[in-house]
Amino acid sequence: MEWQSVSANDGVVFSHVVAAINKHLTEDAVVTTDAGNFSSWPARYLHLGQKNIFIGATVGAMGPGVPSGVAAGLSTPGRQIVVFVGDGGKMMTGNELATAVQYGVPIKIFVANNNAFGTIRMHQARSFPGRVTSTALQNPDFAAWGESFGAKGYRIETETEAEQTVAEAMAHDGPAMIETRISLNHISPAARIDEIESR
Amino acid sequence: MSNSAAHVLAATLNAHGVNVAYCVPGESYLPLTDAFIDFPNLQLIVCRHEGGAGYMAVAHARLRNQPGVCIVSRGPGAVNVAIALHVTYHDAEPVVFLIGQAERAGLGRMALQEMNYAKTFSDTAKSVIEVIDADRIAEAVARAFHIAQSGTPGPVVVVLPENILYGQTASEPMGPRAKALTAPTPADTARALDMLRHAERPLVIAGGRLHGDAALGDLTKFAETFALPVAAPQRRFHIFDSRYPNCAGRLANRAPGELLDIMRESDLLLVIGERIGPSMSQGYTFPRAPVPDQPMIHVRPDTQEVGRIYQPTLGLGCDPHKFIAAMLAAGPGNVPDARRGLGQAAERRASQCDGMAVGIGQ
Repeated sequence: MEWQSVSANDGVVFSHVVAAINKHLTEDAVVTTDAGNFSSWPARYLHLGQKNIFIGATVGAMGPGVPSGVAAGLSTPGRQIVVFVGDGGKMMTGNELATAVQYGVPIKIFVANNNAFGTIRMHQARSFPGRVTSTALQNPDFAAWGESFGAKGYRIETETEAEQTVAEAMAHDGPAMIETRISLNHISPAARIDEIESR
Repeated sequence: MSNSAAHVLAATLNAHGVNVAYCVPGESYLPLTDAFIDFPNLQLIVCRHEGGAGYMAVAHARLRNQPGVCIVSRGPGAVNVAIALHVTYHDAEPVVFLIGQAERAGLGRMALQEMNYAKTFSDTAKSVIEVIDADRIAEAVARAFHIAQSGTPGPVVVVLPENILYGQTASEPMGPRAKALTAPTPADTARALDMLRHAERPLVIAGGRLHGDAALGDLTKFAETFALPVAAPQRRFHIFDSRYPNCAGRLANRAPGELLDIMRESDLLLVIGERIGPSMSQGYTFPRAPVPDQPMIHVRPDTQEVGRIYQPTLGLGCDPHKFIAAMLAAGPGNVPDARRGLGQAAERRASQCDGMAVGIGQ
């Protein structure tokens, strides 16, 4: 499934980052994902083969993204590791980045940050249009937070930066935290918040 | 000769091929962390929170196709790791959780951090096994590994009272039980072949119980020789190469409607190695529960699970790889002409998905 370039005025549409990662993903890379609507972009557009291993909780629990990536480096060392996590999930179990750094796991953590519990925001838009509550988040500077753990921090703020920054982060010889300021409106490949609320 | 029970436990893990275990240390199981020092090929990974340690053990099971091991302390550690038990139970992964417990002499008095794990995990563990005798510590661990992997895999808790871990035993470590795998019966193989050979628009949904190069390679061979499109369920996306012409797309949560419309035209569903859960089934609408809209074959190594929610036309409680191997051995026969249009179907799917992406940009 190929993707078409789509732009938003409230942040990066995450498909641009997924498309950039496709260019660097190795044949036996381990890809892990947390739960959340951000994960529908790699679910739709990330190319995977049978030598890859894709790990995420089918039950939809938040939190497995970063720990599963750490486990990939310790249980099956030597493979490329890509983690997809949202800002909500990152703040739940993202502290295990310390474990990755302590044991030298070169994990690449792609934080899709829309400053919201985005999936709940989408359900709100559907069930209670125009009445937003309890889903907005004020977050730390994820790139700086990653640096404070000993990872290399990156930030993607525009679609044009995606390709170059992903290339640098994937080539970095060690753990990296790559924050993308993603569009909240483009909540998934299948839906836009403004479109849901106007139904 | 007498050994510490904790040494026998560590040696039993070693004999089960465990070389990575994920933990948050606790004073309730100090003899075990101490015993690991004498097993340098068994790496104890120290995590920052039991939830993280538990998730890592679940990932280990997916990565290595062998049980993950997570070790946490009593009460507070056990509660923190609960999310990993819940995920392991729903996702059907084999994980053994070793959990500390207060001394047996103090139980029932609300001893420090005491907790009744059999009650707490009654809805999320396949079994909770408390070691009540140091001489049977290896037996308890071997049973836990066996139960975690059999039928539908899942979490098993082994409860380790502090006094048992500090105790001595003359018993020996134990290795793993022989794997009990089931193959399809000749009659079921014949019926499945008959259904497959006559279907004009079959769809395979291949899932998480297919592990490793041999099983996945045979899945691809099966798709090729029988001319079958293969869909990957929610978060099992590497099961089938997304660039391959036989790839029917991904049954992710809220899959694109256009893609589902194409899949719903199928005249036979073959679900191999996956419990049919709410995400992949789009809220039990595809396949429709409890009676699917089209004939369905469900293959899963658990006779209790096959037929529990759905009424399949043919249910096989056998190992999914053995099923695929049986199909390959029998061969496809004359594939109906209609199936030769597989490449066109792939193009149609691709155009529908591009259409989705274009649509949201406008």
